[in-house]
Amino acid sequence: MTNSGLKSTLFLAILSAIALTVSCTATTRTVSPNEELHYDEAYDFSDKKKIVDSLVQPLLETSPLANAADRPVIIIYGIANQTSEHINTSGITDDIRQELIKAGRFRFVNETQRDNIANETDYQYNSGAVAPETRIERARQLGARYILSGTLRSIEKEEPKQIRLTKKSLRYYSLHLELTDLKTALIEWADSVEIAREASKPIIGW
Amino acid sequence: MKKPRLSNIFTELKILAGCCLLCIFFAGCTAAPLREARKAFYAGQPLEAVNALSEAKKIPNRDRLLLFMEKGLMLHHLGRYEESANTLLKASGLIEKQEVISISQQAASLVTSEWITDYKGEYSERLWVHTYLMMNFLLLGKDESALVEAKQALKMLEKYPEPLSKDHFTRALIALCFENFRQYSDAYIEYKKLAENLPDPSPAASQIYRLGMNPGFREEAEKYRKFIPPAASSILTSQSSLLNSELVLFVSSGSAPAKISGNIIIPPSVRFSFPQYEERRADDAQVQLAGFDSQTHPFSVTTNIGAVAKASLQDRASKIIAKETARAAMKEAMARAVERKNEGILSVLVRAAFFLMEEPDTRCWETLPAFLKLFRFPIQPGKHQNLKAVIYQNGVRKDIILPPFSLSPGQKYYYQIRISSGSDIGN
Repeated sequence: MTNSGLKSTLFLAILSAIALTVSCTATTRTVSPNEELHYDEAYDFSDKKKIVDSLVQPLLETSPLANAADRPVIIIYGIANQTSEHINTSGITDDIRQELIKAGRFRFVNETQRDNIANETDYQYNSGAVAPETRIERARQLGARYILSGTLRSIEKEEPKQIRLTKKSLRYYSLHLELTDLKTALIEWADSVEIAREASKPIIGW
Repeated sequence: MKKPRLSNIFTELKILAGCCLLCIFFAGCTAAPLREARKAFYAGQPLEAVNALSEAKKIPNRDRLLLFMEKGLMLHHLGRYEESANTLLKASGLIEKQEVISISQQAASLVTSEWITDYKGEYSERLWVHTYLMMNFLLLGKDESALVEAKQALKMLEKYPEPLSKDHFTRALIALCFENFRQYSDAYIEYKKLAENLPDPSPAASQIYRLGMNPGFREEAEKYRKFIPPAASSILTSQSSLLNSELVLFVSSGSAPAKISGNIIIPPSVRFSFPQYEERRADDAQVQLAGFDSQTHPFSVTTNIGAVAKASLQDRASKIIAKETARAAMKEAMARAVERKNEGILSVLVRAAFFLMEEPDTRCWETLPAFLKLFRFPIQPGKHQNLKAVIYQNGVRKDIILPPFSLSPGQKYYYQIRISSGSDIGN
């Protein structure tokens, strides 16, 4: 091999090594929760935000409770996950409740803390350790007037088998939310939000 | 003719020795912890078996799916359902990632063997990951998560309908998950598919009739009336409720067949090897509930795990043959190239190495039972104590006392039992 040939080979080898090192370096960056970001077609935090934003506004503006002056008491009975993914839907209900509380027009029964409230009340009355004048008054909890509940559903479709290098899949989510009057058992308000996304994945990798 | 130098011969022999060591490493080599764990599990020591798999680092990456499947099943039979579910969810995630075909692994396997590639599981094994997840979530009272897994299992059944058609247990479990959420139309469809796939539709007939009479498939459901066994005829006369309280038993018995090596040798040195399931005799078990009202017929279905696994492997046969042929051609071409350059011992050794390296991939989920049985006993709501599952296997009776439990109307109590030769594990 000539001297110049050797140099070119060496140069190419170094260049390849640099390219390989740079491409393999781990990186991190902070993303804004408001930024819409999807790696694949599956449900992610951007979807949660979109769902919450899309449902809170109509509940505040167009529901029969929008103009209620007495800050109605609501209990959240959760969102049933009827998709084919393990999705923690309590994240959606937590965010909806937070947004509604911030609006200051509704009050919420803390259903998840019921056992703890009972235990603490029991401790105040029966342990003998709590000063009587500081004990909370019993039987003063507020009963809920409305139930907020919902269902998250999904429909998936994959491209049929054929010769190709990527596989496309389509996923559709719909979240249906409804407000039921506990006294009359009537559905006072209902709305839904839909998200549909197509993604393609490579079939062949290194 | 030019004589080869002694130093060149030594270098070639060193390379060859390296190749031979690689062959031995890859040929038929299951990770030691997996072997130990399986041995301990079948020796009736499931705790030791799980401990043997506790250090995942000792398991090569290519066998990680096996690790998750074996460990998940062992934890399930130990009654550690939460851990089992977490482990099997890792298996499920890995299966999804493995959908991408690795060029480097496929290229390497063309000159070595399939053992070098990641184990992706037979179609049946991928389905059973979801089946065990469904069972775990039902046993944990997480019906919503069980329904998610039911939908995943359904995707597998739709993707590979033919080889998986005989998995009656999974189909019935999917239907049960739908029923739990009062999705009766979906459950009805699954029972109908079950009836189509069963050699005798009678086990599914009473479920079809029960569901069909309620939401409005009356005309179609009536067709299944004639298949309802006399012992279950009470469903025709009494006011059948969709919200019966039930004791649901998942019974696993025996051990599933393992894969073994099959070979076709074409002289002088071409070897085609392929995996096949061994013929293993397994005795099915009969289960009754002592103190149970015999007027009410339980619903039961059985999956012969070996038969479904064999059908799955058979479904892949054409792909295996195509790959085997390509590998044989590649190795023959390489052996001839060596022959052209070197005469004598080196070319003979290369052929011998390729011959020995040609080991079929016999990896499989080995701790699966031979039979998976689902029983649904309708029982009265209230407290139940000293309820006994009576199991007959090979003419031997085994009594398993169920833990006390109480049921409210429409509620189900789930319990799993594994019967192996001489011992039982129940939770």
